[in-house]
Amino acid sequence: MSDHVGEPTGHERYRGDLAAYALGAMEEREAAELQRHLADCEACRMELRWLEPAVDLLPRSVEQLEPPAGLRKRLMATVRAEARDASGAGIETAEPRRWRDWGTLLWRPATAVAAAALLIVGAAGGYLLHEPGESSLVITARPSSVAPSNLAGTLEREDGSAILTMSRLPALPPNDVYEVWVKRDGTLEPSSLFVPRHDRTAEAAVPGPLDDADAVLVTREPRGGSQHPTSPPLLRAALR
Amino acid sequence: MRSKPHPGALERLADEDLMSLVDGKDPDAFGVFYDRHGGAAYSLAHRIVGDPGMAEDVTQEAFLSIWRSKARFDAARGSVRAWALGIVRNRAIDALRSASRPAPKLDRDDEWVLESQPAGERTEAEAIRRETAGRLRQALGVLPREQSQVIELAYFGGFSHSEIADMLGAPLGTIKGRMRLGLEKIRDTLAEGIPEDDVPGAYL
Repeated sequence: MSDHVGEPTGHERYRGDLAAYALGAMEEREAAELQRHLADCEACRMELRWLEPAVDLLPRSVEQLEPPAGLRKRLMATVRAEARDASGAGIETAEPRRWRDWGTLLWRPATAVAAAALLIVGAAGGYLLHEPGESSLVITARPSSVAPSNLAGTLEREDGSAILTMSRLPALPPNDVYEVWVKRDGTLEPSSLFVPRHDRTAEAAVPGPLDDADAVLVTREPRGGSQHPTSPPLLRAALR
Repeated sequence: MRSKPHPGALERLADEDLMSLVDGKDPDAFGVFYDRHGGAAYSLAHRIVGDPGMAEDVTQEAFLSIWRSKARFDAARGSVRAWALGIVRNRAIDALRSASRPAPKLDRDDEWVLESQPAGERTEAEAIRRETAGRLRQALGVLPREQSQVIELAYFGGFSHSEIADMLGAPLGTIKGRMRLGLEKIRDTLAEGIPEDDVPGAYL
């Protein structure tokens, strides 16, 4: 394959890099330079195409495991919720909602007064129209700015109640629990308490009725739970 | 609105056709896509990051980025599976880099054969993937150690060729040569018939 006439300058040097490139083992700048050469060099493109199937076999050689069932469940809940949002059935798009919703205020870095602010500012909530025809659905619960960004949750509404499914919950100090809150008319009502499993997942029942509720939130509280939140919310599922 | 194939029909679609439905934001098509490739994706992520929780995160992020069309499949550049696993690999390497990476253990002898993992619920798809993986490891096992080592460090470790050269105290040219010889040898095993169609339903 070497010694072809008419190959761009430096061809042999680039050719020697093709295997590393196929393996994703070049620094970004080197890779960009090689890509420019590839654009000009048919011989290198062909050779790369010949090598690539070897690389494609590598991921298939690893020990094959069964992914956790919760992964599919979360992905599908997220995907269905996003497809529904995108289909335009909603009254508004996600972006304006974020800013109009007072709850967003808490999504800024936590302060000691955050929980109190929730109760006060919360009085302005609840003006959005209820979306019609959605009695059973899955809502994505979003992590707040004080929560790890990979904290994930879904709220599945069923017959007036709901199940909150969460993963990647931060580990709790020994004397703490997580508490679920239902926000209604600007106030937070304590709901269920839970602690995550060892794999940091959890499901929590949220007893209904939730028809007139605005949101479901999760905070960390001392064991036994609190009547009012003592820490900023980590997770929030907006019901309206 | 495009008419929607019925669920059984989705499972018989070729990957490429399935992907155009996923691009069109069809959650059912995405579900079938996940069922086909989620296991291989999770296994790869686990192999790279070495931690079940982190592997789950990586897989979730990769599939959501595909769903959100941040990554677009280009049929000119290979199979859907290779493309999707490439996304998973890159995410996993990023995750490794952002977590403080422990120094690689070069004295390990398990390049291609990990200690066995707790077997979850076995499905037919998983059984087939396992068989293919076993055959591949066997084929890869015949590579000279110096070649398998550099390929392993690059692909699963996310190290660049110059980092690997430093690590092994070998000239960069030598490392490049070993990568190339190793890949060529693997390429030869392809001729011996590693099945392309080990994803049930994908090629009916």
